[in-house]
Amino acid sequence: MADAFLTITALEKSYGAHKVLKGIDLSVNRHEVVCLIGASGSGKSTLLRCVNALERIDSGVIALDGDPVSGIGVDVNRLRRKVGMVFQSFNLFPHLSVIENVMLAPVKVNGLSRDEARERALKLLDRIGLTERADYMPDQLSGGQQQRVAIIRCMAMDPQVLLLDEVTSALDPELVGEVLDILKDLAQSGMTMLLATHEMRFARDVATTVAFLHEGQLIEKGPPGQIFDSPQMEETRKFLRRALFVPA
Amino acid sequence: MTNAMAATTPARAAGAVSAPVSYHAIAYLSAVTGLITIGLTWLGLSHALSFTADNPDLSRWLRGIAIGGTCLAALLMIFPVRALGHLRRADGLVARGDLVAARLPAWACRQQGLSGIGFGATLLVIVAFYVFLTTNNFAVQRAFLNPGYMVQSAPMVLAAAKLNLYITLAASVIILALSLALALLRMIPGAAGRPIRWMVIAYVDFFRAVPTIIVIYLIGFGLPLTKIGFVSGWDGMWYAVLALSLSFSAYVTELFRSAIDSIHPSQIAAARSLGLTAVQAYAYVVVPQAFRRVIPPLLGFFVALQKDTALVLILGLSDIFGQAKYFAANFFNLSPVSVVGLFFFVITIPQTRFVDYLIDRQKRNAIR
Repeated sequence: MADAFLTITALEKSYGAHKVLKGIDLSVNRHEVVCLIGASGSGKSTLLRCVNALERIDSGVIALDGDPVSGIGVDVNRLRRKVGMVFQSFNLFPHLSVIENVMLAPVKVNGLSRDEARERALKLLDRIGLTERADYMPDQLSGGQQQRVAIIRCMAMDPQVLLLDEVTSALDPELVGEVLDILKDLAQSGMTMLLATHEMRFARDVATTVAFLHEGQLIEKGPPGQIFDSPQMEETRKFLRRALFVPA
Repeated sequence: MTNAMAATTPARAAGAVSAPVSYHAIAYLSAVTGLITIGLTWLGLSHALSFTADNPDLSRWLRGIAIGGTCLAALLMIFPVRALGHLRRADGLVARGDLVAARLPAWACRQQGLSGIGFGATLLVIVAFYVFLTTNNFAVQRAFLNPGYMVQSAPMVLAAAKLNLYITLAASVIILALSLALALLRMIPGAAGRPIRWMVIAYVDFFRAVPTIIVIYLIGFGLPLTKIGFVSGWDGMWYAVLALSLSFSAYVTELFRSAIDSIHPSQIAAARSLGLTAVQAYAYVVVPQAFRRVIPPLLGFFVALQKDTALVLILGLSDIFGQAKYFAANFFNLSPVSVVGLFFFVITIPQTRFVDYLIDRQKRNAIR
């Protein structure tokens, strides 16, 4: 725990009368990959959006590298430079070409020159094998290609932690692999990641910790082997049976 | 087998082929209307000949029109003739009990018959307009479309159109800037922004409710009366620009607002998550996308603005309409004003076609 980079303590969040997160405690160490699993509506996405301050939290503390994420005097724009977020629906900017999507934040936020940003963007595009698509518009790419671009758009800001919100859920099955491969690469290069996913195989292969959310509560967490092979809690067992299509 | 079936159920067989209106009725109706069209066309087009006994040159021209038009009407008989051909084939197939095969000629019969009726009706409308122009010894044509007066007034009338173009250009620039600013103010979030939002709503409601011509009148005559140095003593054209800008900005503000509203919030979330500030997210992500969506309807408003510049004549400006009215009063004839109408017709049509093209392209892209 000495190296905990992201710590979430007693986090609560509700939309009106509906309580979405009911006291979450979770910490993510540097170079760790934490997978959030759980049914739709269990609060995975909300948790990620809270970490990036896209949602206001009701109570509890989220701290990044020791600094609180929310509260008076927090510069959310500076915070978000340290945190990258990838969305289920890619959210590329449709009016900008692929390379301009990647260059926008480095130029406008970090003040890089366009040439410098372009060079870096091309390097990143090379990493995902899309150099020759640099000047395409997003809607000319497949879903898998768009999501890969969205991932390196985040990486262009050199984030210290990457939040990924069901990044393969909107993809056709045959396109899921290419996106997960990029994520595996990133994990192996030591990127700290917190991701919500329905890809159990991926969670088992890549995660250092798997955390199971159920109705806004963190029911169980541990290394993937333990969670998938010998879950302790009844809810976890029930969820995994359904998620892995294991007959009862 | 089929013959036997047809023999046992002839009534149902006939019913199965017939549509709500039977193809027989359509074919015969189109033949009758075709003949009537030929008669009416000749009557209508030759009517004008009775006024030209003393002008053999014109008489020759008009006879040419009458004969040509009637030939065209006769040519339209091709549709009923074809319809009757298909009708014969369809009836033959029905008689042999081949109902499925009969559907095709029956359908073709209906198409040809309806085409004949449609083209005939269109020709008759044109003929009616010709009669309207020429009746009572060319009274309408003399009043509105006198070639001599039109040619005589055209150079000065068209030269005066420069003022309309200047007003359009100046107002367009102001409208773009003002509307975008107002639309963004209209969207300031939170309780603190409420009074500002209300102000913009009040502005939009007011200028959409008050007729443009009233705004022009009040500003054009009102502001000079105030004798306030800053707003009086302008050139008349600038009052027109101001009035049109205020009036049109109300509409265009709404246009911008709805376009900005239509950009999905996930775009803002993505921009903010990359570290862009709220202002940057709007400037680089939301507004550029909204602007693209807004271009076709925006051009539509600018076409309307061009036409409404003719309203500035109430300020006594010598715009295209003012100049034409001056000629019209001198000639005691409206033909110079028709020149104005033709001018707007000629400059507007290409623009509206271009807007249609843009809208079409946008639809295709949305589907892709």
